[in-house]
Amino acid sequence: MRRRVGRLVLYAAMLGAGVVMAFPFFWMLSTSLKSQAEATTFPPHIVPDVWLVSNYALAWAAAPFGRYFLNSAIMALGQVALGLLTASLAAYALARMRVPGRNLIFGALLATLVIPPEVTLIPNYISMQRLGWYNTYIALIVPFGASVFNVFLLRQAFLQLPFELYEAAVLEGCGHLRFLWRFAVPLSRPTLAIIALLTAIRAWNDFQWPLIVTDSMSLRPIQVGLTIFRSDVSTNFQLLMAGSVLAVAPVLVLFLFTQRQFIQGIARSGIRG
Amino acid sequence: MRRAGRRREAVEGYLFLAPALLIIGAFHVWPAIYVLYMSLFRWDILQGAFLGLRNYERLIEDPGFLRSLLLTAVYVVGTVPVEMAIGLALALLLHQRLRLRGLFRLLYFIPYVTSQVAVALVWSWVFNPTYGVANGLLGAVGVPAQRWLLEPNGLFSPDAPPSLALAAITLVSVWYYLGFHTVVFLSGLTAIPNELLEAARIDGAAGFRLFRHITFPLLSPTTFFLLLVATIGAMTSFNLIYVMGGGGQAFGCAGNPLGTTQVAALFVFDRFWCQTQLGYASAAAFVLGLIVLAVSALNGRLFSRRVVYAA
Amino acid sequence: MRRYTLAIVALFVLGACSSVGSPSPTAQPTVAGTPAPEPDVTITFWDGQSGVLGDRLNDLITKFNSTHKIQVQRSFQGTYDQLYQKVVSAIQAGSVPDMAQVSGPPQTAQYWKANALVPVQQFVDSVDGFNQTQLADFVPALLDDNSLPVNGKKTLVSWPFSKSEAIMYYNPDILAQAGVAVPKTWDEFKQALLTVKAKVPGVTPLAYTPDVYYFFLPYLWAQGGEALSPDNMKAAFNTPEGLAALQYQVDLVLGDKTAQVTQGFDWENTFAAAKSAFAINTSVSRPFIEGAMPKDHIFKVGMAPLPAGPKGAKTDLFGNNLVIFAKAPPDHQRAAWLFMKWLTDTDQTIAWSLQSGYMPLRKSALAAPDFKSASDKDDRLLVAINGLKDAHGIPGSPDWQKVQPILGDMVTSALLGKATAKDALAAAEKKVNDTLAGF
Repeated sequence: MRRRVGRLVLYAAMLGAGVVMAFPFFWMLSTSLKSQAEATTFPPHIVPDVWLVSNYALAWAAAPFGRYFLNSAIMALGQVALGLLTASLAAYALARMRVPGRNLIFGALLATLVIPPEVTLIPNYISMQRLGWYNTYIALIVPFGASVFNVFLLRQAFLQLPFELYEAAVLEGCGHLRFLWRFAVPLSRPTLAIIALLTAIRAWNDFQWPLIVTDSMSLRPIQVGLTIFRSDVSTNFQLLMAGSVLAVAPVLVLFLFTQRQFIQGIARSGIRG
Repeated sequence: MRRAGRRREAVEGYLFLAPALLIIGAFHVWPAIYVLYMSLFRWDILQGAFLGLRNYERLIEDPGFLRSLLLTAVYVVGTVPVEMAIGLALALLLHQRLRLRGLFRLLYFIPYVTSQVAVALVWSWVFNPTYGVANGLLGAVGVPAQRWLLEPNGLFSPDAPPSLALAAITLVSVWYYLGFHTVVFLSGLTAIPNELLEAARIDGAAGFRLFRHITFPLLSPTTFFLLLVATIGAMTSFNLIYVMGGGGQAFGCAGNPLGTTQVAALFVFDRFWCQTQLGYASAAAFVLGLIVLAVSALNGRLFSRRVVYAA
Repeated sequence: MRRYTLAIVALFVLGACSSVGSPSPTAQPTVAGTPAPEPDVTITFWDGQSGVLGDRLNDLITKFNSTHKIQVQRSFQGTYDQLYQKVVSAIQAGSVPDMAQVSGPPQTAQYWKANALVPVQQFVDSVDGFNQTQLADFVPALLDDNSLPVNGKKTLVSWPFSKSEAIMYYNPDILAQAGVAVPKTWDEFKQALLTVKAKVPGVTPLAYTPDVYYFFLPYLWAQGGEALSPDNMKAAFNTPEGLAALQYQVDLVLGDKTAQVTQGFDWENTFAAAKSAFAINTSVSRPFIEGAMPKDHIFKVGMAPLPAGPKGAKTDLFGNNLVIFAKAPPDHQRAAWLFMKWLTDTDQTIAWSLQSGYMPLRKSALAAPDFKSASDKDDRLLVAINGLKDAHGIPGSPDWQKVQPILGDMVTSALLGKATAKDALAAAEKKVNDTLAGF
């Protein structure tokens, strides 16, 4: 009996926390359906009086959002693919290979985390121009194609791989690359899933860098596209919220999709070793 | 024979490391060096006179900069421990066999997934002095309406940080990053081999004892890492604070009201992009970077010894 | 030789005929000689015109491109601040566009100091430019707003485009209810607020977001005061005029309690919902106010010039100007000038003004039939224009970006009661002088 009450309290608490966490998102949804007048009345209406679904059509029409979505997707997928590749290789080398100066390199990598991105903007912008990458997808993908954070996480996961597995593979004549590809990576899927998810989210929501390194509408991602609703004279809240809801939707879907990887990871951890 | 094998492995290792090192070197390390270079000059839009260490001398005496460091410390203390504690609690809860576990995970993660601009706008609305929900709630319990993001007076005393504005932003930051901490802790929890937990349970450990002696120590690599990353992130935090505390005015820039939300990263941004003092801002960025490095090293020193590995 | 000259003249005449014509003084060659034909180039134009105004700008550019050899390629860069960031980065990298919008004299002064601009005066004085009579058609205040002293001589560095100014908005219904006339002086304004507060419950007399540009500076200027010394090197606002300017706001907020401090654009929503009687903001805000009105309570937004002080009414200029970058090849520079000239030609300035709410730049525009019929229908269009004779530019100093936050803090600390107006002024003066001296 006590157990059941405890469980109920637990669920209530988690639901409460969930409401607090998700309420602003539902507010976004609600605002996106309002007229401008209603969006700014007080006391605020939680549920809109009239559901202006047309706001979404308006927001979509205000700029080539279809193209923006595509660009965001390309940018995110590109960064994820490149990020997973570079992180896997580097993390493996740092975790399992005998590389002289390994710890020094790792320490130096960690040190780079302290550099605030707002300041690296100008030098990187200049680099983009010099390399001829300005206003290309390359500029949107490559500078973020490797992350110390990802390397760290993955190194952690590789370190947890049982040594016996590796020894057995070596006896079978497995080289490093093959071991990495056939064993280390598949066994670290939950970590890879998390890295992929976090990279994708960062890329999807990035705003300042794409604004700086792109010129043409054909390259710009969603977050830059949404700036059209803000000006120095006013902010069109309901359309901006509509656009933001549209922008969040794919990432939510991605999250739901990668959640399965977590579950598989949990289930599998019993079989490991 | 072995030597050649070793050398081959070393070369192979460097090749593995090369792509990541190249990218990080070119787009993180090189800019940092360039920024260091810029900090030695008077630099408006164009490079000006060579100043040597003059910018740094000015920084040390600049009350604005010193205050920004204090505000950053306040912000870090207000966000990191709270995020980690709540994140861990939520991760532990989500690790159980709960119904609707997937739904909860989604709800907790939604903030982190939303763009910071949208988040800042929504919360600015919540804290709106004229028609925000926060004042509505306060009014319901008889507390007078607050200016929230426009309020420079401190929570504890009028002139001591954090101002109500900074406190509000701190709250939003915790809310925003909670999902991230939860997810990373969750991933750390999944890495703990189930047999260990089972074995401990068979031995009679349960609940808090299980957590304290088995779970938490085995979680320590994740905790350590998260602490490091979260501290660094909080010390260099910019986006949320900028959009919420940047004033929201047509002609403002960074660090309203009365500069009480101008943490170090905003100070750098303001001097760099709003006041076009590129050399000075670069010096500030560099000093900030050194401080973050020092704090991280300290962090590592203090806690790495406590980290336990399962295998 | 003669055939050649005829051909050139023919080209020019054809060019003139292809623009939409109503008989208005389009630019004719000034300096002796006929201008060369249009260069056949594509120029890049960075702007910060978002939303509906961006669309209108697109329309204008499309129209230009369809009738000219020069092709303009527009690239939207976000808000004015973001545009500025982009241009600053571009100057560093040596990759600037041909022309760009710039949000006012301080930014222009920054670009100028970086030797990034070619002065527009060069083109105005050239064969493609204007003679004295034609130049006089432009509102003098706007040309001043775009001029900087170069070698002691006032020189046009940028060219006006989208200009607005600070004006007073009012709700005629509430004013009628309170029996208050539209105030003409700052004193009358204060009184009007008090009357509204007394006579009309449930309405805030004034809602505004604290700012340096909407109260402090106009009030200061209206008394003959200035923010900075003529050479822009010292603070000049810690004077009785400055004290009066600051104290005025403080009295409204803390003393009379007739003004409510809002956040961001909330003043607009409060005003649109008929919850406040007055607002002071840029003349371009009207369409946004109207867009925020609830459908069941629409009122005609009243517009009036800012109240006057002892030295008359003063208002500040906002909006954006246009600059040409020195790094652009000479034919691109010329093409940019020709585009700018077309943009600010009478027909275009009328169209742009009517669609956007920015002011027409030329005096002749006021008499043109399109504009006249519009202003006859709605005389509010003339409010900002009439206020132009009282316009005062924001100091054209590259250091203004450092001064502005100090003034902003001064206003905020006084309004929130953290410092008396006197102390706030003194503290700000010291800070400004230290800042300006440190460079």
